[in-house]
Formats: sequence, structure tokens, C-alpha cells
Amino acid sequence: MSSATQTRRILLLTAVLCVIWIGLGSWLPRPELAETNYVANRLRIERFLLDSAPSNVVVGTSLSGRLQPSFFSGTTLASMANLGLDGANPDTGLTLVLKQARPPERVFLEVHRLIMPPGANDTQLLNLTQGPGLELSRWAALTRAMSRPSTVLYGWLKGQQSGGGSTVTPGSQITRPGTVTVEPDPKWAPRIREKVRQVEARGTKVYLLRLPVGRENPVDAQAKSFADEASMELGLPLVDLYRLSQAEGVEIRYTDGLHLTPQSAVWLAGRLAQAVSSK
Amino acid sequence: MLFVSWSFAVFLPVVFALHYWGRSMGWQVSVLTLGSFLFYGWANPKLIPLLAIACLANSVASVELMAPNRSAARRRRTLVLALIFNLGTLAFFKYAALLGDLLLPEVLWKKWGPWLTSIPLPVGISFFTFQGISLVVDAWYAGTKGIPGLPSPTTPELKGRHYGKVTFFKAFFPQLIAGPIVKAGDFFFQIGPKRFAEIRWDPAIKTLILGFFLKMVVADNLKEVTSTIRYPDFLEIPRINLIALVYAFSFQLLADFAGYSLIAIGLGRLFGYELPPNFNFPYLSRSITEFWRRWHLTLSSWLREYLYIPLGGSRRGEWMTYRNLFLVMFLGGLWHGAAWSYAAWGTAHGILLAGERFFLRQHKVAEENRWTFLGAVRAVVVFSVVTLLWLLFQLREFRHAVAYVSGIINQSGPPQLQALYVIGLFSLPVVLWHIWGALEQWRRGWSPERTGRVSIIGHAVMLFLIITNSGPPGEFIYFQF
Repeated sequence: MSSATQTRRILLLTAVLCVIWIGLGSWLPRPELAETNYVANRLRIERFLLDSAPSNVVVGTSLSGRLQPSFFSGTTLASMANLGLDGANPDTGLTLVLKQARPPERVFLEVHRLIMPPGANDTQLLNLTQGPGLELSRWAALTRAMSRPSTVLYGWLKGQQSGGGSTVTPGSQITRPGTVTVEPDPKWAPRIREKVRQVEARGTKVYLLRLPVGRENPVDAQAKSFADEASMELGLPLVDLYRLSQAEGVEIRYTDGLHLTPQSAVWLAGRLAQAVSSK
Repeated sequence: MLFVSWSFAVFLPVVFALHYWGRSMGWQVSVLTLGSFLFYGWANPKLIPLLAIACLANSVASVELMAPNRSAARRRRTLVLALIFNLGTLAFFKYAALLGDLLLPEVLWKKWGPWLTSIPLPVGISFFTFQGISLVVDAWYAGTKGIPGLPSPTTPELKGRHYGKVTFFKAFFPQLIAGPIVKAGDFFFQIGPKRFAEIRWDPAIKTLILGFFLKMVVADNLKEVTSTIRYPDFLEIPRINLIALVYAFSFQLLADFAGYSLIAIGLGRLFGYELPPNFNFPYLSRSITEFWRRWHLTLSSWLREYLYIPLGGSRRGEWMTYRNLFLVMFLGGLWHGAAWSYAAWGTAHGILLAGERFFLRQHKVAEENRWTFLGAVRAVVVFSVVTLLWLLFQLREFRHAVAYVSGIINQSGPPQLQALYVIGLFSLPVVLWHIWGALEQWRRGWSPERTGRVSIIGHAVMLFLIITNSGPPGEFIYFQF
């Protein structure tokens, strides 16, 4: 076999594999979860920016990342996207909302970690949306996170493990935000206020969202006490699902002491939709 | 510029087209040299003068060392000055803070310490200074005889070409930042006009596919899990995951560095240059000695040729040999970085090498080429020891490494399956690659058609996974060295 022939055959066979994989993609389940934080974030970002524009968006960290869009089906917030990004700052989610050509009607901005400064993870995520890679993914679905064989396999395995695709936990727990110790940003308020104004200027209504948090750490404890202060500071209405769950005496459960179980997330999604309807 | 970046995806075809557009050697060398400087200074143009000065200094020195009518004293002085320049550059940028902390009195350290610790480490400096040292030493030995492809600069024209060739040798972008460390004798004779029709596409493309696969699919996908080998994060991780993480880091390190080296070799082939191999299935080694004959081959070869042999090698008796082994590995460890963890890592390898040599001599154990059950057990033991020592690369403080090992013994808890899934899945290709290497003898019995078929399928699958399953892009681990 000649040298040049091998190169040509490698390229040809690769093309065949790609076509087969694209064909399989139409009947393989779309992964709702991923094996790493980075891929989980890519899934959410690509869905938000490349698929049909949603009317509602949850913006935040892995805590609100548990409010999976499918949990809102049948509610007034059925057209929902989730930008609860693992290990990221809510600031990053707001930047991504500004990148969406069709602005959403409502943004639910998770209050936890609002006071923290963006970090290296945020830079990496924003780089992901700035290079030609995202444009490539728009035209070649094969390069999207949902087409990763390892992610499809992981999603399928998790689905098997929990007996159905709809009850599994989205995102990843490889690096937990609870273990990260970063100093709060004293200039958080003007930074977030500026972003919120930009989002509102496009006709989007922004709500602050406080979720119940399991395992306490200094940052989350601070977030609990500062939700009202943030609401005042930013001039945004607060949807306080933590107080609501307390008032109703509902026991919220967590998978790892920090992140919501699917059952609790479904309950909170319903309450969020109700709270918005009544406002 | 990173090999795995969009800017490089534009840079490469432009330089490739310009290179083959002109047919003269002068044009091609100029295009590659200018392209290499652009490649080096892309992220930080301030680095370009440093590379230019290094090229110029080594060119001047090698001209002096190889020109006719130079006295022995002048040549000796030139060699010493060139070595001081190369080692001094490395010492200033890489070891100033470490040496300052070690040697300066406390008063001076308080005054100078912040400045010394703020000196940035220029990317690739460890590699191109070693290449500079090899050039001047080879030029010293060669003298007026010249190095193949680099004749003694007897005329102004030859002198001009000498400068151009040396600059190209030092700056050639595929190997500039993280090797392979190329020796003068292996490179200069290759400089000449290159023809597009003469490109050996198959070896070039296959090497590039394997390199990009190891970097983008294996190393980059393992990166997120292995980032948890960080104090105090690992204190919450159960034993089984801690063990898996050490092995994962070992696979990641190999995939990252071998991936880089293979991409460099593949790129070299695209431009008509053959760079030396850097890895030969290192985790198949059945002894630490064999490991160093398979891991980072060009550094091992450099250390042997320019340090171990000048120190006396194994020619001055057993104890001097042990001392030399120990010293070379200690300095080899420090080459990786200005931290005592690297020195400890090198020292551990030095002790193991010396101890192994002593033991094998005492028991008259001969090396075996074919695989036996005992050989496989030895390979697993050597791999595990080497892997455990890599911890010092990730945990720079010795007490953190000790805490990690203690965690392996004490930290119970249910396994974190998600991380184990990532580790298992993305370590598998490195394991399969090594099995492929271990079966080399058996594969020799295959027909060329069968070998070709397997190779095509394997490379097509790897290319498919590069397209669909790459991890988060990032720098190569060896850039920090």
C-alpha cells in the first residue's frame, strides 16, 4: 500500500465515521448531563446560543444548574434555558445572555456567589464563545458537546443507573464550588448593576433568585443574609425560594450536601413558575 | 502560539504555502525562521529580542569556534563565554529566585527577593538554551572540520549562511518551545531546498494525528479531574479515587508531552525535516534505567552526552558512576523547574537508578527483550513507582505530597464514579497504545496489507475523536519547564 494512499484512506474513513455518527445522532438520546464541568457548561451554553431562543433563562452557578429546563414543562416558564454554569460566576451567564441575538423575556439571576469575582473558569467559558469554535458548532453539529461520544455514553449510563433520563442530575460534581476559597469582590454591585442594566435595556425583566443551599460555607451563609441587600442594591425583585420552602415546611434534599436532588429541583421549578405568575 | 489554537490553524497553512512557494534554500529557511519568530512572539512579542539575542550569541560563538586561524586559548575562552551566556540566561530567568533565597543574606533577600521572584519565565527557555549549549560544545569538538551541513566559515558568504542556519536551527518553530531537543549533528545536514512533491505525507499525517489525539482527546479531557490533585481539595477525595488520580496524572503527563513531541515531529516532516523521537512507550519499562531510555529521549541523550560523560560517566569506577548518576538526575530534576520538589524528584530517580544498577550487578540480572510474566510484574512496579513520583510535579510542597500519600492510606468513603468514568475512559487510549507497543514483536509477523489496514482504521478513529471528543484547550504541561 503506497504512502499517499494511506492518508487518503484515513481521511475517507474518518468522513464515513462522521456521517455514521451524524446519522446515529438523530435517534440517540441528546445528553442532558456531562462527565466534566467543562462539557456540562458547553452543553448549556451551546443550547442557549445555538438552539431556538428561549423566553426564560436561569443564570447562575451549579446550584441553579440543577433547575433543568425539562422540570418547567407544563408551567408558565416552559420555554426555559439554563445557564447555571458549574464553577462559574453569574456574571458570565449575564454576558452570555447579552450574546443571544433574541433577548429572553425573563432572566432569573441566582444570588449566591454574586459577590464573588469572576475567575479563570469564567475566562475559559467566555473564550469558548469568542473563538471560531462556536461558529463552527453552529454549522457542524458534530463538533458540539452533545455529539461527544464520551458524553453520549455517560448520559446513557446515568440514565440506566437512575432508571430514566428525566430524573438524573445535570452537570458535574468533579470540582465542587463549595471547596473554592476566594475573597468576595468589594465592587460586585456596580459590576453586576451595569450588566443588569444592559440586559434590561433589551427589554428583559431580571429577577434575583435565592435557592435553598445545603452544606453551609462562609460564602453561602453570607449569600443568605445578603439576598435582601442585593435586591435593594440592584433594584431587582427577589424570588426567594429558600424562604418559601421554609414557610411551607418542605424538606429540600441535596445529592452531595450542596446540590439539589432532581425531586427537590422539580418542586422548586414549580414554585418558581408560580411565584413569577403571581408577581 | 499553541499548536492547538485557531491562530496556529491559520499560521500553519500560510507558512507552509510560503515555504514551498519559493524553491531556493535561502527563501525557505528565511520563511521558516521569520515564521518561527512570529510563532514565538505571538502571545508576548517582548520575548522576541530574547530569542534573537540567544540566536546571535550562539551564532557568533560557533563561528569563532569553527573558523580557521583561531588560537586554542581564544577558542577555549569563546567556549567558556558561550557556556556562561547560555547557563547564565537560564539561571537568570529560571533560578534567580531560588538561588537568591538560598545564597543571599536575609537583609539582601528582603530587598531583592520581590524583584527576583517577579522575573518572568520565558516559554521554551530550558529547551533552546540546552540546544545552544549542544551547538557550541559540538562546534568546539568539530573545529575547522565543521559539523555535517555546517562547514567551517572560511569565507564571508559561508559566515553569512552560518548565522542564518544557526538562527534557523535554534528557532525552528515545531521544536522551539518544548523540544525534542535537537543536536547540531542531527539537524544541519538536513537544511537544503525542499520540494512539495517530496513530502512524506503518510508518516507526517499519521504522526500529527497521534500527537493531536494524545493532546486534545486524552490529556485535555483528563485535565479537569487531575486538577483536583491540589491541596486541600484532595483531602475530601476517597482512597480509590486518589489512587486512580495519580495514575490519571501519569497518563495525562505522557499524553500531553508525547503529544506535543509527536506534533513537532509531524510538523517537521511537513517541512522536510526529521526531528528525533522523544518517547518510546515509556510505561513498558521493566527498570528505571529502561524508563530513562524510553522517556524524554532527547533530554536523556543530552544529559548523557553533555553532563554524564564529561563527568566521567562509568569510566572511573563503580562509586563514581553512582555519584555521576545521582548528580545528573539531581540536575535533570532541577532543569524541570526552580523548586525543591523537582530536585527531590530528580534525586529520587538518581537514587533509584544507582540502587538498581548496584542490585542488578550484585545479582547478575540480565535485561530481557521478550515479555515474561515476571517482566510484566516488573513493568507494573516500575510504572507505579514512576507514577507516584510524578506527584511531586503536581504537588510542589513536599508535605502536600506526603498528605496525599497519607490520604491514599487513610481516606475512606464511597468512590466518586463520575471521576472514575473520566479517568477510565481517557486513560484507556494510553493503555492501548502501550499494548500496541508491547506487541511489536508479534506485529512483525503481519503482512504489510494487514498492518496498513489496522493503521488506517486506528488513525481514522483517532481523527474522528479529535473532531468530536476534544477536551478544553489549554497549554502544554511542559511549557512551564
